[in-house]
Amino acid sequence: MKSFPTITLPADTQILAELRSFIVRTASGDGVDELTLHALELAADEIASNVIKHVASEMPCDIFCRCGIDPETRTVICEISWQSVEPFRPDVLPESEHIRQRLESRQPGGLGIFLIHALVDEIEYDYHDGRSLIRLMKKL
Amino acid sequence: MQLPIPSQFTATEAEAPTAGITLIELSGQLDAHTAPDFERFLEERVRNEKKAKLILDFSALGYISSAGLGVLMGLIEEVRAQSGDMKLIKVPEKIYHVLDLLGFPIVFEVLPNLDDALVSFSKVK
Repeated sequence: MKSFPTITLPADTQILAELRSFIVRTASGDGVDELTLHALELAADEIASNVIKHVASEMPCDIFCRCGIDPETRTVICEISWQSVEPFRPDVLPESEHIRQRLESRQPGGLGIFLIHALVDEIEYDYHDGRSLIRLMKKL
Repeated sequence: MQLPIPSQFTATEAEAPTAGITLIELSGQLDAHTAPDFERFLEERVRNEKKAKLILDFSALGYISSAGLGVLMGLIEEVRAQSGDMKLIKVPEKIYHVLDLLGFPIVFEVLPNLDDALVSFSKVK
């Protein structure tokens, strides 16, 4: 991956504002509108919140983020990784219809994962050397 | 490692626009850090003060994640069980986009302004 800016933050809800600020700073540029920036900061926030809630509550860890614009592919790329004992890969991604059913039955679970997938164009999952990684990509 | 400045969020109960209706103004960033405070604020009004007709003004809300939306989802049935409702007004475009992606307008009435919300409440018997 290109030499994009990076940030490392402790997995704690207090860092969410800083993470979003980092995304906005590093993803801003020509052709990046407000909705695109908002989609990326929200997707990154949802991933970090998930890590803080489900991973860091068991084992304190850091969240590493790398973000920037690839001028060749006109794509904003944002990578988030953290230490984990097993790969993070949602087995079942909620479909739009399922999310509506959950809303109608007032079950908030799954909203975050659904949002992450709905907000960006492509997502890649990876796991290396005890670290889970999610790569978010959004075309400009 | 020193922690950075966390998200700032306030929920304020404004002067009641009409008897029996509670106007709550949201301001700042509603995420997984600030959602627990908002949940306590809303629960206090719904469960302890038995306020059930709520209008939430989003005009000064800069950000909301699924943690904040989950607070609204968690209490909507309680207010409706008390013959009330929760209506959202003045929702910024980027936040409405998220609400729409999730299908929130199916569950919550999203209205342009306070007058529309008051009219909507007045139609409910």
